Amino acid sequence: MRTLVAFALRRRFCSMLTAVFNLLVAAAIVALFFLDVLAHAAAGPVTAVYLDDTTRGMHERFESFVHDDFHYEVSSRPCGDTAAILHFDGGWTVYSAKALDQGMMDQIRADVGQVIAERYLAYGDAVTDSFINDYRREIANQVVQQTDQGGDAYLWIIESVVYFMILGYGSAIASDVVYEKATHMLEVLLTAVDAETHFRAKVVTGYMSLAIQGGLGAVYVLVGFLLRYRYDRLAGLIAYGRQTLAAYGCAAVPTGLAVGWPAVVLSAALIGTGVLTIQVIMLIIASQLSSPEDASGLQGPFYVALLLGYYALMYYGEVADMQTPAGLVLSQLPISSMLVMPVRLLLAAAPWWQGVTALAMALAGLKAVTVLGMPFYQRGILDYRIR
Amino acid sequence: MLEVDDVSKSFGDHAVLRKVSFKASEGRVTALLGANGCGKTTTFRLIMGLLAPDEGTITNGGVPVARRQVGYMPEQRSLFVDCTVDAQLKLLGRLRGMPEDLLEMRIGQWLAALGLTAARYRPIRILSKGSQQKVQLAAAVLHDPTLLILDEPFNGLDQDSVQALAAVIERLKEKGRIIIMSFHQYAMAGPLADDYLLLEQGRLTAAVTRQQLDADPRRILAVRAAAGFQLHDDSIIASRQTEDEVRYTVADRQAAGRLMGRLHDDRDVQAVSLGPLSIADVIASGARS
Repeated sequence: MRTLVAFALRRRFCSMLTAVFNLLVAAAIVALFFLDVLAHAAAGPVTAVYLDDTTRGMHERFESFVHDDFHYEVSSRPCGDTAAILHFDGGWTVYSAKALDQGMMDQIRADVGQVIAERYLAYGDAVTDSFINDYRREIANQVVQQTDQGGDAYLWIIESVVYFMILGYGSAIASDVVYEKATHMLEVLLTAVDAETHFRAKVVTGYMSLAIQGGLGAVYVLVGFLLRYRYDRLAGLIAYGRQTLAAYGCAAVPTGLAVGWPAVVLSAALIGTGVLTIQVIMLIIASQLSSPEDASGLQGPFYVALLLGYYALMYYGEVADMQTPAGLVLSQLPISSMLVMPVRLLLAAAPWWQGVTALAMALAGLKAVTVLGMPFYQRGILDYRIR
Repeated sequence: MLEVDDVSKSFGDHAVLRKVSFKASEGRVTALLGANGCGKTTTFRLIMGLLAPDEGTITNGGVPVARRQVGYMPEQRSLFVDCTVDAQLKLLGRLRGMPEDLLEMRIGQWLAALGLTAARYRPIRILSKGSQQKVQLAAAVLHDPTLLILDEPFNGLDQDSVQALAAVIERLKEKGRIIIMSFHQYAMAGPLADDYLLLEQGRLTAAVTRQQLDADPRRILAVRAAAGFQLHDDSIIASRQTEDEVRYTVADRQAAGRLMGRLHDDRDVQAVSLGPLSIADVIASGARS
């Protein structure tokens, strides 16, 4: 089995396609560490403040202000990335797609204070400095794309990445079987090893591919981190991250995260068992196919089913929903448990023993799929009938 | 000796092999002939132990066939084409438990014998069809199997490649290996085989040896002539039209010699040759042993 696994891993990781893929992944990860620099370069700074209908009567005065880095203009357009909107509805608000820097906000507050003061003076009211200052303080910068994402969203994002990597690798392993079968390479291999060894080698190859790719990913993260550390000791990225998270209404660290060793170990074990189960299922399905054409015909509906399952889980993805009976059941069922239970465990929404029962059921599911699927695999890999 | 005894195999309701029996001896090449779908590949899979027979037994030297005794070359190009020749051969050698030094030596020897030394570290996909087939043969014989199964070995190859493969098969035959080859085009079985077996719809309908063919008094008169040419004689048992000639099966050598003389004087005849009976002629004439 070791020979088969080593050969398959060498084929996978010593290919031009994998090299290009890894180059792209490495570039993407390093780019993430320079997100603030890239975002600034791509979008450019906010250079205009649009005056909407609610500030009618004051347009001319605002447009008369001259600043080096921005200007006011009358417009009913959406703000986009390079403009903000000044709005008055009893209180003053600056709407923008991203958080404005402190200097610009101070300047807008000063301008608004100036306009208000002039209007009050024009009406002959007595205006004190303290009144104007109070008014200025009320002006808030509100980001228009504000969302209600909570801390648990990050866990779902990480889990989604894991899930789609699993699908990708499971699919690659299944394609290997279809290729070997279509070229009759399998028959040659089966004169040297038995079908069970071949089957196990495929599963181990898939698992090790995932581990190696994960290891490579960790190296890319380290490289990105070191490059950014040399650039500015992460200062720019941290400031950008805080600003963005604050603007989007998120805490810097997901709230309620309970990252204890039992939760991490159980989560890793659940994800690992889920990976193996999905791969075994995909291998058994692949063994029933005779050609790459059959495989592509089947892949569509199969992926739709997996994606529907995924979106259903996302729908029940809120912590509150996971405490419903449906959430509890999904966190115990093999395969779905690899997505739901880690989130519940890491958010302290489930006691540890529920993680253990989910893992026991996942392992039982894996064993059942392997034992029940093996005869289908052994028959399937030598069956070339058109389906 | 490989003994296939009363073997039957069905897939669902479809009977692929029915009571098939034959023997294949050491130092002889057995040609399994038959049209596509007649059960040749299933017979091979049963011999290799990839499938189990519904009835009957298959033994080599009185015991069940061990997988590692078998070298198998499928009809298709069964290779990891993105790998080098060396990687492909090493994979199969290692899977068969060959020690590294022996593996290195054998790869070198076989690639030299097949004229592929320069291609050892090249990706298989850039090799010609004939070279790829040679790689397949090297992969099948690398571990020095006692039983060699070649499924349609000459399919789609040019004459040079056929001759190169035939020379290697001849060498293995001399070393006393049991060699079974399948052909769906009977003419391709050629003079290489010692025993000919004909499979039709899962049944073994003919078994002829080369000695029987050689000892057969019947002769083949191959005539290339102008359109409309016809040869009539009481000694002609059968005739069949091939691509560019008519092959007459003549009762004996004397009659064939007489007809040959007659044809030499005929202006419509462009070429004529006399030869022994071939398996293709036997099958075509329906005169089976």
